[in-house]
Amino acid sequence: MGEAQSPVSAVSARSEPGREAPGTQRKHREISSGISRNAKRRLVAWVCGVLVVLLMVFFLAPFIWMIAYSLYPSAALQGSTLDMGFANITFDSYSRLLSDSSFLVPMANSAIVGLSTTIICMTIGAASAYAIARFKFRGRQPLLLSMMTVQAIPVIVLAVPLFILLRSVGLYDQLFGLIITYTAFILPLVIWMLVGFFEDIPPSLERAARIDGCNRLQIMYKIAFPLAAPGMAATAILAFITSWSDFFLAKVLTISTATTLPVRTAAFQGLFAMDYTSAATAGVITAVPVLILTLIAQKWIISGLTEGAVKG
Amino acid sequence: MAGTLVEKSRKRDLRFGLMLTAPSVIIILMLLGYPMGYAIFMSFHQWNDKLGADHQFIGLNNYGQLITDPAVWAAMERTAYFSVITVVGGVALAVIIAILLNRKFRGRTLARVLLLVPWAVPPVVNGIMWKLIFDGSVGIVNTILRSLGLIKENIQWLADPTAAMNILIFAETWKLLPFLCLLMLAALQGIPESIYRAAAIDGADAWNTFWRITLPNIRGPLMFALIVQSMWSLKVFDTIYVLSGGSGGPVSGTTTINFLDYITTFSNLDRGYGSAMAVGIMLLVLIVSAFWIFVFGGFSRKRREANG
Amino acid sequence: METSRATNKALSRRNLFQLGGIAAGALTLAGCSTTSPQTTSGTLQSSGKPSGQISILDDNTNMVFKNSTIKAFEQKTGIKVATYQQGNFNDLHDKMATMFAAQDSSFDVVMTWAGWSAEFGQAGWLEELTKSDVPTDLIQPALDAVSWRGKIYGLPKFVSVQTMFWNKDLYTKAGADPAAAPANWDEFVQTAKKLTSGDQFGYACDMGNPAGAYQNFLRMLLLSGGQMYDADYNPTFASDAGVEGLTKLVELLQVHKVMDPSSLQITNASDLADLFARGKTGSVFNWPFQFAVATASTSKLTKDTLGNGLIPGISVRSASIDGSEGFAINKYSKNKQAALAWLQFVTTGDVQMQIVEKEGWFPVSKTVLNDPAAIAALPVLTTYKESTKYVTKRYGTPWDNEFDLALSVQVINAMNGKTSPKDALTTAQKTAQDLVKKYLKS
Repeated sequence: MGEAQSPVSAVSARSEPGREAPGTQRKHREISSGISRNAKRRLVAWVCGVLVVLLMVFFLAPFIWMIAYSLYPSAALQGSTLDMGFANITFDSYSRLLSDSSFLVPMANSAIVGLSTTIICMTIGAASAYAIARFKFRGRQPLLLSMMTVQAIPVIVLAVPLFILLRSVGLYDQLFGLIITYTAFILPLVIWMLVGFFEDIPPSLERAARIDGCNRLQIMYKIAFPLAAPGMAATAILAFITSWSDFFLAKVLTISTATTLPVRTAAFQGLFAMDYTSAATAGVITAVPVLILTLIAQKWIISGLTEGAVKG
Repeated sequence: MAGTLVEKSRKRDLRFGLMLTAPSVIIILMLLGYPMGYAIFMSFHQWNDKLGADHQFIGLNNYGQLITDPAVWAAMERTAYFSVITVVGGVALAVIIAILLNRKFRGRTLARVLLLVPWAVPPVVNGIMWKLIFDGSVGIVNTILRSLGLIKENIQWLADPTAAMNILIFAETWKLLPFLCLLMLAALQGIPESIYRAAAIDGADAWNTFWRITLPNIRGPLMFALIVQSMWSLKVFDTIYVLSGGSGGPVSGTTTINFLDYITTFSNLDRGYGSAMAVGIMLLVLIVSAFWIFVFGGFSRKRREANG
Repeated sequence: METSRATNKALSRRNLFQLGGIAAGALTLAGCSTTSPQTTSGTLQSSGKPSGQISILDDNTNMVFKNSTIKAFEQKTGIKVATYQQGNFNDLHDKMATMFAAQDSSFDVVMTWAGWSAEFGQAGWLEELTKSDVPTDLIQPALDAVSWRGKIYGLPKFVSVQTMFWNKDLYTKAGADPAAAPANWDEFVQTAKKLTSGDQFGYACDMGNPAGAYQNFLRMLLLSGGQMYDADYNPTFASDAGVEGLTKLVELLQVHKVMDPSSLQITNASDLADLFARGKTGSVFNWPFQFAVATASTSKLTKDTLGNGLIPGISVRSASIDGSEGFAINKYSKNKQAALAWLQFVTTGDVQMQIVEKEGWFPVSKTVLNDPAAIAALPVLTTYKESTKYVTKRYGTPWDNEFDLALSVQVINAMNGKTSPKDALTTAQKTAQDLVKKYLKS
């Protein structure tokens, strides 16, 4: 920071007006503290800057450490001193995993499951959320509330009956089985979030469209959906992350053909061999698509959540 | 008033509404109705796979056991500790961070993007990562503390039940903050600038502005965040599983109620009791959600009355 | 505000009660439709040559099956292995429990060990073998690992028994004799003390999770000449021998301070093996795979600096614990004959020899154990042969999971000085008695 002195002077400047009783001496303060107010603002900016940097370190450091584990041999990072020279860096584990079909297939599976679940959740969920937000039919509120019940169920006890259910219809160890299961679990959250976004769209726009001769369905996907697009993008990311990274259900409901990436990653942890390098590499590889997606949707997410502000 | 016309339109609304909501309801009921019924059915039976295939109907006995089981109460205590910190602390922290990131500064967009990184790391990887960080012999935290001269001997973070629980809270907070921050950030952006300007003219200081303007205006998203995070915290599983090597240890120190349910159902194969516990957890989650709605419901009613 | 009003519209208090009603209604309806599909399953006692195909679920310990055994098996028997699926050991239990509970027949052969043989065997999920199905030259602890109360639920695939490994470099530097293992516990403690300085410790173990705490206590119990259960499965580990064993374990950490404190947070044998290979630990008691880890290129040790011998006893010369693995037949399998053929094939000499040579595990058959070629390939086999003279136990029981958890809490509390070894074991023994009563009442 270029203004190393300002914090010090600002602290002293700040303590003076800060102690005064609010209101009574306001006028005096505004007149006399022209310079110190400027300094105070700079101090606040400086403190906030430091906080933001610390925050970013907090959010990023663990991930960077994982990247380090994927690039260096474990031995270099596990000694009493770190051995992190550039010469030690190797991309071996990346090239090994990305050319190993027993890793690529689960990766493709995860992508298919994540994207399909998201698409299904968004089409069905958006329609439902729109209906709940727009049409005041009986039972819509209890419906919305019962979505909460679904979110409240611990997944653990559902594993065996879900297994029986999926197998009885031939969906055990099938990608579609996973997709439909995730859809059922994620839909309530999606609907719950989207209702808030749709309620935010002024009904006047839709009324105008109706006068123009659009029917209800057309209004929905021609007017309402585009207007709520930012909110839908945010919700879609939530749906994708949830289905892409699920571990417990994927572990129980798949065995070989439909194995997903988290299950494959967990398998690097053997009873007699813990391959930290591969696990970290798989971790980075698993996180990257999500990051890219969220980066793309970043603009929409921020503005999306702003528009709807998730009204619950 | 053309009553029939309104009625006709309402009927059509109802039909259209049902048509649009039906697929969701059908999928959810289809997939989760049977498993949920199965779980409830089991909860009324003596259903321990290791005691044979003869499952006796025992009424509410499993639920009775739930209330008297000291392991359940110990787990509830840990759940309360974990949840209060992650929910109240997490949401409060999210509000503070959101306010920080809502200020105008250079690199704000970049900061907001980087904020999302923890969200992108899958829970399985998350657990392995924290293990590598807090490991007692090769963890980077010990290495750093040692090289700074702050400690002489390695601290065994994951060997002490209290420390392990606190690390769990730390790891979980790291993961949940991005979503909560985004939620709060979005809420803050929804507050019109004019309100703040008016407050500034009235001479409100930052503290007053926060309590009188900011907080009331993000009430809705705040409630959503508290409810959703309560649900997730009460049902935390993945991170505990990986951090503790699947045991909820050390000395059961990270065994929250949902993890106890996992141990009961899968390790002990006592699925009847495990189902009863799951139903209990579900009720608990609903009660906590209801609590937040009550808190916020009362709050907003007063405001609406005040606004006339 | 628009925001808050919308929220309240959606979630008012009245609606909360309506929600309760809807949930209850839907759940009652669903509750009536609980049925479990019955799978028709074949029997083991049918005549004729096994044929068809099988699917195998294994942990990720062995690579030799995938690499060569399956091909050899298919060629020899004409049975096709449709799927050979490997999973993380820690995840397998839940996967298998789910499949068994759903009476699934996706896998004919599943991996097992002492704990699961007892647990899943008692649950009626594993097919019982007859004596005639079992090869005659199997080593007893290996057979124990697939049996429960006299019933045999599978056949072993390899033997795993703990021996002592030490770092000869550290021994020489500390002025101890690098050539021989300590003859008894006192000698072991004396050496460990010499080895301990700074961040280097004389000994380390893995007791960070319930199974680890159980294993480490069991080893000390056996070394003190104690027993976990008597012949009728009455728990007897809170005996003088048990208290002595646990006291000696606590002393390693608290009095002699020769045990690496990270021992209390290591949750698996592989982390322990890595720790030893990093060259900061004088000695460990570990499974055979420690040899491969310690002599790998990334290790600080080599074949020449790695010492291996019997675990020093307290009131007996030596003793050890068993961790052998095997294969069992799924009760709901539709091709049990072919599954049995796989189980038997794995115990044959060629396969066992490969497991010894390529993977470093001990063989399940006496024939291979006595084969000079096996010892040439795996030097630690000498120690193992010697250890067969002494007690090697595991005590796999159906209540393992419950018991390990209860015992581990007591053992760790004793390790941390929060309770005395005697009180810890007395409490754990009470829990064990309740569990035995619960599961063996019939």
